[in-house]
Amino acid sequence: MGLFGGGEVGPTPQEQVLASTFTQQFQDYQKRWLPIADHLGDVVSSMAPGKDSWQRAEAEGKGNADTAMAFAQDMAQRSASLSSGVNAGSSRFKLGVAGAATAEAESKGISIESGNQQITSAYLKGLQSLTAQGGKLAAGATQGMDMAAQITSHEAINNAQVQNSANSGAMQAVGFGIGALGASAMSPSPGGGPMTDLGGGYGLQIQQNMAQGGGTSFGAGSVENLPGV
Amino acid sequence: MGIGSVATQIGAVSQQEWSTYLQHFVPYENQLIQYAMDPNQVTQATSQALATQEQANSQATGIQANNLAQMETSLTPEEKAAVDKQRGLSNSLANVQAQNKAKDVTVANQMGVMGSQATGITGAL
Repeated sequence: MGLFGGGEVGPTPQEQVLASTFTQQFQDYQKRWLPIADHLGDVVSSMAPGKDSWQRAEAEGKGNADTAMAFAQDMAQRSASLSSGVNAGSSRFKLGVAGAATAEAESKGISIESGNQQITSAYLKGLQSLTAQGGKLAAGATQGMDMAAQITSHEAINNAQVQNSANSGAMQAVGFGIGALGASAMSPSPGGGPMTDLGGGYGLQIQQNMAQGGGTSFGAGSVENLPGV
Repeated sequence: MGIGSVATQIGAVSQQEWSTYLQHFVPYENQLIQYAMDPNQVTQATSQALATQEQANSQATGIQANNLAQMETSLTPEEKAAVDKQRGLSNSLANVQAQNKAKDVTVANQMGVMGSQATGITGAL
């Protein structure tokens, strides 16, 4: 409340709805989505490189199984070839079997490591997903703070304007009163004595002109009677 | 709703959002940054790949013995020496390839993270 009174401007209905919606949205997010984000975070963290997670164990198991199945078919073909007259005792055959064993072992390594790298890739995608969610939340927070600042600023400006209006209204009334008193005081004395030059400016000249009948208002009549106009 | 309460309410919710962000998401951002910026990440990945490959390579002898037993045959000492020599070369090559691949994948991952996340929270702001 200002010196001379005056009301304050409250939030608009739209601002009230905005605040209510903003609050409800965040409460809903906390209730429904934040637990999911937390769970995703736990799962993703367990997949970090160097950690013995179930995902990596599963990838290793799958790599072993896939390779074993593929080379089991190879062995079945070799076994079948024996019935068609292939000599299992020949060096060529035995070196072929030994070479297949080396290839199978190496393939297992490649397959397991590939699985590991896929888990790491999933780990990074999970982190990026969480980071994106966090970024949106942070942006929302910043936007909210910006909104709050703007609303506060608008309210402050509006309140200042309301108080200014109230104050200027009061000042006008006071000024009118003072002006009336001043005009009365500066009127020529009944004895025709000189006026006291209080200001030496146009204001006094106007008053003089007005006193001499040059005009009854501060309008055009007064201006026309100013010296040099 | 009183004077200033709208701004206060929005401000309070915004602060809660920010706190939630700091508490629930920043640790994951830090994990991502750690992965992207850690110069030891490549070394760790290549070491892991080498260990995995060596472990797999070590199974070759057992697989070979099983397969030969299925065929009811075995290697002579000369054949075994030839197989061992060939296997040594093959395993070395596999080890090098595993490490190279791990290095390439890790560097690509790091570059990918840096490229996609560089704007990150700064971009949001």
